[in-house]
Amino acid sequence: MRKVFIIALNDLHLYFQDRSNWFFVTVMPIIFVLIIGVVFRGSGGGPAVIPIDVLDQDGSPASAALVEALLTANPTVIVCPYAATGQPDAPDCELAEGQTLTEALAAERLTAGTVYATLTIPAGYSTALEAGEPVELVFRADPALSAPGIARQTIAAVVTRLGGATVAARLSAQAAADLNIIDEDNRGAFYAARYAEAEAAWGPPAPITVTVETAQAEPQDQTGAASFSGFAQSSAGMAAMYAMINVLGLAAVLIQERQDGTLPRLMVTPISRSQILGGKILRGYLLGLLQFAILLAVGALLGVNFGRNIPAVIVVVLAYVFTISAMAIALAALARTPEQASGLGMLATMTLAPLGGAWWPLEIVPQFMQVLGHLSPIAWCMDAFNTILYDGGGIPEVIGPVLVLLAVGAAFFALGVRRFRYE
Amino acid sequence: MAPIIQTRDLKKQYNPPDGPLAVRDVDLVIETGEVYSLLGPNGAGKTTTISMLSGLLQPSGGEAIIAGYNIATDPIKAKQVIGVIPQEIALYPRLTGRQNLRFFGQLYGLSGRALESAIDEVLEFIDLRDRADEKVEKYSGGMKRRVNIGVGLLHRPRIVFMDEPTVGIDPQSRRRILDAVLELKQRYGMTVLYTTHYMEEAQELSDRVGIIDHGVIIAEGTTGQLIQMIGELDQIILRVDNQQVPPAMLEQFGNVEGVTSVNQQDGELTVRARRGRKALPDLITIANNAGVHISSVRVQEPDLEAVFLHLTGRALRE
Repeated sequence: MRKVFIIALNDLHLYFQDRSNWFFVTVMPIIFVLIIGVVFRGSGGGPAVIPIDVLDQDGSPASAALVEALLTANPTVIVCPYAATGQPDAPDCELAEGQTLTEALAAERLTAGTVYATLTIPAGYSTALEAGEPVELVFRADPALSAPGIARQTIAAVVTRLGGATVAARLSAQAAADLNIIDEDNRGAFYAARYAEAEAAWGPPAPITVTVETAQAEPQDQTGAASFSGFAQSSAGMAAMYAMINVLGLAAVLIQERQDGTLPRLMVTPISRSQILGGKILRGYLLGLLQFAILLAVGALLGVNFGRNIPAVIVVVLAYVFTISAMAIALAALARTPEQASGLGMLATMTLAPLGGAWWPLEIVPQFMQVLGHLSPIAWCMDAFNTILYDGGGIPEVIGPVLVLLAVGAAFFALGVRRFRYE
Repeated sequence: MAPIIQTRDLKKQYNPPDGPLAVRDVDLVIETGEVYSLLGPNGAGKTTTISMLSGLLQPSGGEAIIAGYNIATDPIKAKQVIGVIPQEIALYPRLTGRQNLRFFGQLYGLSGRALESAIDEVLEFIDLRDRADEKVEKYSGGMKRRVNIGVGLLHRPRIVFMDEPTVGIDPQSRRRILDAVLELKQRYGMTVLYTTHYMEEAQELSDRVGIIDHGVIIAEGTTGQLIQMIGELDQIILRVDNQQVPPAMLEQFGNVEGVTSVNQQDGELTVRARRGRKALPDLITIANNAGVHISSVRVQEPDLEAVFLHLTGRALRE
C-alpha cells in the first residue's frame, strides 16, 4: 500500500507543479460557483414553481372558496387550470380551448409532468362540511419527487385554515339555532355569513403567525420546505463537474506516461501492475475529493448548510468520485493518444454536466430530459445532494443514488482494468 | 554455480495467432559478472528480449530465470535484483534529477538514510551531483541519459539490462556510458546484458556476444570465437574502376602467400587473405607491373560486422 501512495503522491506533486492546474482546481470552479449561484438564487430548491391541478367535482361556493384560498396561499404553488389568468410566472398549464379538466385528463397531465400533483375536491364536499361530516380531499403525486411535498404542505395549511372557519361557522349557527336567534329558513344564510367572517379573520394580519428562524437547517418558509440557495446548486454541481474534468484528466496522463516510457519504467520496478494502477487511480480519487472539499467549503462560506448531514455528503462524494475515477481508467483504455483522451474527457464532461443537472436543477427541464439526464452519473450525485439539502435526507435516503453510482463505477472499473494496455 | 540469467525456448509473438514472431526460441545462459551483448540490427528482437527478461512483456512461450526467480511466476523478486536502463529517456521532466532518483528509489523499497545515501552515490557515479537539483527538462540529452542510467542503478542491482543506451547521443556522452558499463562490471561485479547495433560497442564491452537476427540468436561466443567462425580472413579491396584487368594478373594475385581467393566485381578486386596487410605490397607490385592503376585500397580485418555480414548476407545497419 505504501508504494501505491508513493505513486499517487508523486503524480499529485507533478499535477500541482503545473500552476495552471491550481487555477482549474480553485479559481475557475469558484468563479463558476459564484456565477451560477447568483443566477439561480431564489429560484427554488427544485423547480422554480410547482404547478398542480385542482379538480373541483363539487362546484359549490365552498369548493370555490378552497380554490380561491389555494390561489393566494403560496406563490410557488401554481393552481391549475385556475391560475392561468391570475398568477405571474404561471407555467403553461392552462387547458386547450373548450377543454375541461376531468379525472382522466388530470391523470394524464400528472403522468406527462405538466403538473407535479393533482388535488381532487369530491362531489358533496360542501354538503358534508355544513353537516359536520368528515371530507376527504384526494392528493396524487409521485412520491420520489420532493416538489409535490411543498404543494401538499400548502394545501394542508389552507385546509386547516378553512376547516377552522367551517367549524366556527357551524358552531355559531348551531348556537344561534339553540338560542332561537335564527330559524331553519335563515340558518343557511347565517352560516354563510359567519363562515365568511371567520375565514376573513384568518386574513392579514393573521391571528397567529409563526416565524421560523434558522437553527441547524436552511431557513424555512411558510410551507415548511427548505428554502433554496442557488449556491447549494452551484457548489455541488460545479464540484461534480470540475471533479469530473480533473479526474478524467488522469486518462491522458496515463497514456502520456505510456508513450514517454515512465509507465513501462514503473512496470520494471518490483511492484505489481495492480499497485501501479492503484496508485494512478488514487491520484485521481484524491484530486476528486480535493475538488469537492474546496467547492463544498466555498458553498458553506456562501451560506449553504451541509452541517446536519455531513456523513451522507461524505458517502455521496466518495461514491461519485469512485465512479469518475473508474471512468478515467476506462477512458485511458479506450483512447489511443493523450490528445484523444483529453478531448473525449472534456466532451464527456461538457455533455454529462448539463445533462445531469450540474449547471441547473434537473427539475426545471422537461420530464423526458430528466429521465435522459440520469444517464449521467452527475444526475445521481445531484439527486443525492438535493435529498440531503432539501429533504433533510441522511445516508438511508441517499443509498439509492449511491448504489447506482457504485454500480456504474464498478462497470467502468472492470472495463478499464481489463482493456488498459500498460506497454 | 547456476547462471544468473537463463532462458529456455523464450519466444514472443505480437498479436497472436497471426502476428509476427519477434523472438523465437531464445536460449541464453549468462554467468554472474559477465557483460553479454545482444548485437543485431533494428527490429532484430533485442528490445523484445530485454522486455521479457525485465517483466515488461509476457513471453508467448518458454521461460526466463533471473537470479533463480522465474520472471513469469515470481516477478517481484526477480525485478528486485534487476536494474533496467531503457532505450528512451524514461524520466519525469518536471522533477529534478534528485527527485526522479528519490521516487524510483522508493519504489525499489529504499527509504530514509539508505535512500539518500544511494542517491548521492549514484549522482557521484553519473557525475551529476552539481546539477542534481535542477529540473530534468533543463538537462542536455547526455545528462538526461546519465540520470536515466542512474535510476536503474540506484538499488545496487545484481543484474543490469541496458537497452541501446548510446543511441542518438554525442561521442563524449557515449564514451562516459561505455566507461560506466565497464566500471559496473569491474568495480561492482554486476552482470550486464547490453543490447546494441553498434559492432564496436559490443566488441569493446563484451565478454560474450550473441548475434541476433529476426528474433533468433544465430551465433554466440567471444569476439575472437565469432571471428574464428568465419575463417579469420582479411579482405583487401582494390579499386580499379573500368580498367581491363589481365587474367594473368589475377592468376599472379592467387599465387601470393596467404591469398585464398580473388574476385572482380563492379570495378573492384576483392582479395581474401589470411594476413592481408602482409600480402598487400606484393599485390600492389603485381598490379603496377601489369599496368593497372589502383585508385584506392581498403583492408577489412575481420570484425563482428564481417561476422554478421557473413552470417546474414547483410550489413548490421541495413
